[in-house]
Amino acid sequence: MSAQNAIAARVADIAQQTRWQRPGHIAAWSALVLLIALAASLAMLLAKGTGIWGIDRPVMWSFAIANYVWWIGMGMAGTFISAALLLLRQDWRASVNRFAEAMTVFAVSVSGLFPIFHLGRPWFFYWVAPYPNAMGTWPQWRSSLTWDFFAISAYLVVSILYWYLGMLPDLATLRDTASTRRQRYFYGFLALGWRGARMQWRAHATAARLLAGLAVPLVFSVHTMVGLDFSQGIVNGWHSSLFGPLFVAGALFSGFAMTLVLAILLRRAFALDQLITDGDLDRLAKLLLAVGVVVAYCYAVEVFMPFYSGDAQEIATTTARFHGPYAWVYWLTMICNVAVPQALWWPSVRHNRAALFGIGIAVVAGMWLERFMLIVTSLYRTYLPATEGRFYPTVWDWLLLSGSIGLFIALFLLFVRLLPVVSIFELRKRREQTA
Amino acid sequence: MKSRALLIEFDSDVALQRARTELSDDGWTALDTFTPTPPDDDETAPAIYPRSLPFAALIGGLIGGVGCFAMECYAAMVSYPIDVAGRPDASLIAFVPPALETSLLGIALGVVIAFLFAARLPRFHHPLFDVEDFANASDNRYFLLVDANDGRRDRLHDTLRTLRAVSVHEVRDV
Repeated sequence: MSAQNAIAARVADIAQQTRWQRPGHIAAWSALVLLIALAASLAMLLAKGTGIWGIDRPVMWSFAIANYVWWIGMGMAGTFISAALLLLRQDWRASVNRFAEAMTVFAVSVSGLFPIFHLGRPWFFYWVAPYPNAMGTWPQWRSSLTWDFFAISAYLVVSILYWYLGMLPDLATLRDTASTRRQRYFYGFLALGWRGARMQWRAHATAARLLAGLAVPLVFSVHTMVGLDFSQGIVNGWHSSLFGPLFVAGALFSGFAMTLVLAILLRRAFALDQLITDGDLDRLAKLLLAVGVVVAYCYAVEVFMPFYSGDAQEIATTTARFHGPYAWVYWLTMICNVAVPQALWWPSVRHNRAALFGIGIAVVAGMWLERFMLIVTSLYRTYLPATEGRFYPTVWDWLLLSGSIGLFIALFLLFVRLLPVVSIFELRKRREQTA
Repeated sequence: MKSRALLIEFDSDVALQRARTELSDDGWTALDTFTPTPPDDDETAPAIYPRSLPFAALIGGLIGGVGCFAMECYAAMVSYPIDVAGRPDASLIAFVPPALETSLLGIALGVVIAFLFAARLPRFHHPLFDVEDFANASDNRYFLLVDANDGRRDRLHDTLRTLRAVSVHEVRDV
């Protein structure tokens, strides 16, 4: 049975019928190649240990942690965008919330790989969790690593619940439009028997509101916890109360940019111009610009504070960022994250999809560079001149990074292939209200 | 559970809402509506309803937050105290971040469980699913379920025609 309603038919079609064109095949094949790279680099890592990476004293964090913070940062924006827009009664969220939430869930899942595999003995990662054990030990509650574990686990569960709950009515639509038995079972199981009864809708709206009210502070607390991983120590360049807001702003910045990139790609791939409109992209771009201004302000404070404190080491770290061996990373970060997004002040740029796409990619790349810059420039020279060293990535570092991108693409493609990419019932409600 | 009920199909929310009022004037009891989008008349209803959801959020949050905090205190002060440069075992401020996250987790779990109870889910089979047209309830049709045991049957046919009902089904044990 195919759907009569135009929006439902379009969305159900993408999940159930549409045969992918060439771009879809290219995306799927590149995801596969990158997944093989991921598998190879993880196998090598398990066999040989973290020595295959470029890390060495004093730079022991580098790629693994930069990748982790980058991914989890992108994982903040989807839930935030969806929840904040719901609370502010912005009905254009209907166009973007579903795939942004999916992006969140996948990015957080991918990010979890890095701290685990960075442990050296990743098979013992569950030692961070409190559980009854024969050794009679407990996690160290004063450590931000333990806090981080709690924060990320909680965030992953809440993001999945929020995503799934919002999808229930649409899963019922897919169940009822499914043409094969296998599809009916799949969507029927996921839809839990949703009937669209009055009480179901009311409980659904209430639960969505409550979870949205919860999600906004959750996003802020979780990414602040990631910032605390850094600022809890006394490493120069990290030991600052700025790290909470800097990380939250940076997370939303990269996440909005990724949402924009995915919106443009989805729109293009499935001709969703009617569902994800130019106006929606324009509003997303404005959000990106707004949070970009906050990020730029944080960068300025980050430079100002060392000089204000007068601490010689802090000043040395800051000036080394400007013209030390990694200065090019710093300036590239500034170009991608501060200079390029300023183009969004012009409406003509916000209405140019190619420009938006380019700016989105620049910000996503710039945010990775920022994480890398923060980690390496603070670690490569510390208080003792004798401990100075350099970090150079190896091929395994690059393979793991690209492999994680492949994993994300693969998960996102599966989502597009199987689940409703935009919220059917919310878009219809929006149309009914404007009509 | 009503032994006999009528499931009436409409092609718009407006028609459904009109039918609801007109049929109740004729003595019919509306049991439920089934719609592909949230019903409109919810604007007048309280924003947070049913109340069991916020209550479950409170309970879940307390269990998550207080439970985690108590576990941390027990672990760090009783079960496995570690002396780190003479710092106090009861580092209460450091115990807050995990407890905060678990209380948020508890709230979310509480809300979702309460939602499932309130919405009576999961329920994979329901008598209404036997009606073939009911699959359209998630697509472009709006359904009204009325109790078949009361109301004026003599006028029903004419009323439904003026209300432009698409179809009527008799269902049992809903």
